[in-house]
Amino acid sequence: MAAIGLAGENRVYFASIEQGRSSASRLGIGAVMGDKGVKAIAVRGTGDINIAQPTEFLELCHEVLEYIKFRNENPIPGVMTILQGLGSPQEMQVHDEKWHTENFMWGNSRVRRRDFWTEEVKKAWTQSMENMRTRLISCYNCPMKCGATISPPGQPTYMMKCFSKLTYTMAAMSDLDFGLRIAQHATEYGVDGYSTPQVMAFAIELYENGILTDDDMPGMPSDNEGRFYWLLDRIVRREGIGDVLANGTYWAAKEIGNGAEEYAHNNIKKHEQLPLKLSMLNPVYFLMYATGEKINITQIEGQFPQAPYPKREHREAFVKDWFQVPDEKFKQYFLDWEPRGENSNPYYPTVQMCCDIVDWQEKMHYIDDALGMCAGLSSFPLKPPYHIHNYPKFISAGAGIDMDEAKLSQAAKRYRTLVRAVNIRRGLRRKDDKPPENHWKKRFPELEKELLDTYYKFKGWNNEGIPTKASLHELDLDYVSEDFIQRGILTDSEDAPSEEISAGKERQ
Amino acid sequence: MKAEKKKKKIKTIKIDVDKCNGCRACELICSAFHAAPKYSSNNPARARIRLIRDPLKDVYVPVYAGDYAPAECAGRDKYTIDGKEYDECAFCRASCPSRDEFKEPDSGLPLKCDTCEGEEEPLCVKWCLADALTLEEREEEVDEEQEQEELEIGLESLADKYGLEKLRDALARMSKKD
Repeated sequence: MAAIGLAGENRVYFASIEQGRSSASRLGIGAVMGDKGVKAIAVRGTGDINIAQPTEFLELCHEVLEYIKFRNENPIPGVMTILQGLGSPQEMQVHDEKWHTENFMWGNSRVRRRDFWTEEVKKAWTQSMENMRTRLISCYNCPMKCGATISPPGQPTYMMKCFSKLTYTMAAMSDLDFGLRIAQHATEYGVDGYSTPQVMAFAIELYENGILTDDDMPGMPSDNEGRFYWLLDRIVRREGIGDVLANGTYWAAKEIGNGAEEYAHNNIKKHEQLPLKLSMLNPVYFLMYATGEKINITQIEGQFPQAPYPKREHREAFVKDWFQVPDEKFKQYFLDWEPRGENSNPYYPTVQMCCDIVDWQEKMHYIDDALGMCAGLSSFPLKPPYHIHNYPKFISAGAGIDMDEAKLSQAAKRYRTLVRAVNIRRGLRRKDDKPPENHWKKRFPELEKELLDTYYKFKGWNNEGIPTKASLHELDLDYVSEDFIQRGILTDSEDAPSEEISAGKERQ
Repeated sequence: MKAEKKKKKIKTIKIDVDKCNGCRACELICSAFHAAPKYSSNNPARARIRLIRDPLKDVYVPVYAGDYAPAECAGRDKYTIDGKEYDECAFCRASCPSRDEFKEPDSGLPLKCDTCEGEEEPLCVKWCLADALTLEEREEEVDEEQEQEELEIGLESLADKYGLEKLRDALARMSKKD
């Protein structure tokens, strides 16, 4: 059963589609369902799922199961808790939130609290989770336990997984008890757990700075947590200021004016991002933030460690059983990546290496999406059980399609390019491919330009980020380039027209 | 005549409902193992173990298919255990007319767990990483008794459904065809 709540019904731009312990949250697709007048979709599967080569398929299943057991017993050292194991990640059973609470920003993605995670906090938060968490739960036929049923005393039981655990808590500068309680309302209303808390924190910041006033917020309670409940109720009903905020910070800031745009500071392509503000530019992450079209970093990152290991011996240990790499060169990239000195961010990994690393990570996400596989056992965690080497075998044995790594990579590239093409038709251009201005303190405009230029070429896109006629032809997508030429997006000579075509014109 | 005593290995599957995560891998692997050819398809509706669940009430009970029952039982009691209410059927192994579980979806014939004969351990146990299902083996002296075969169970349920007369006629017709 997949259903929308009040938010989807009222076309809130960040409305989700909720399904048991999971949800399709990003980019406001709940509003699309609401707009079409669809409240819920119920499916009862009764038929058989047939396997082309049962013996081979089961053998692969056994290998994966054994590897999952191995990974569960052998967490990866040297990375933060949730990246040590598999899963989407397993936020519901992890109590150690030092990394998130001290490295992510609080409020409207403003405040970093470096010494937040004290013994006292740890004890209180562990207790909150254990008091409310009735059971860790799995998705269908999955050995992981990423989800949980949460029963806040005095409120209905709901299901949760992943990082919604902390987003409300941190946006409201509150505690886990509050976070788990308000998330029950949010889940029932059906809203995205990343955007919603930030939209509310944005409103509070505007209010505190006099841009929104009591006239805009009639009846808003005076206590901090009460304000968040009040704002959430207004937003999902589109009442008063809620009607403005329901369009997200980008559009709300435009409507509110009076300098509000400065406060909508954590967006990419008009969508609120995870609250992270860092110091030194990471070139791999620059490319992922800039070009990821699912517009969420967790939907493109995963295979390659987020930061270099301090010592070479640690790196050597890491690459020893790293068989998931599509090519041995990735091991060398990681071995030579140092925290300081010549081989460190932002100039190492080199531009070319960054292209390879980003492309591999993104490819795995696109394959997962195409197969309907959970990123939690494949594209998101380090050293996952499903990877580029065994996926073709699963597809061959399971579906009887003759698949190999090259074919699968080409299929993923085709799919990824099509997504780009759809967005290009809607007006997406190079100007949109950028992280929030303040994501890193230390920025390198020339390097960033070179990164984008080189990555576009690597992907078969022109300097505006538009897939070229030749690359579309190679992917058997001539009909797309024909459409682009007809619309004036591409010319016959492949380059984009010198003048920027406005999105509005293209839509006509 | 008294039946002779015989030593027999008794396999018991221990079910810990507190450890179940609701993944239903047990249903999937059971249906795959019993598919013909083996593992060629899967479909929880054909499984001989079903997870009776009500997630928001925190009810998760893996139940094995047991004996065929031609009629519904009289009692439909409710059990409250640790503050959670369970329907009596939640613990019942019978393939009976009151519910859909444990009936082969195509034929409607009753299904019964055979603890994956021929395998080292039942596959539901093997694939349950949460250890909600574990296997215990012990030796016991039991009266020797002929176990009712799958064919007999199937025939009995057909007789209950259509009457012995019709079944006999159908069998006779089929014998003639051969």
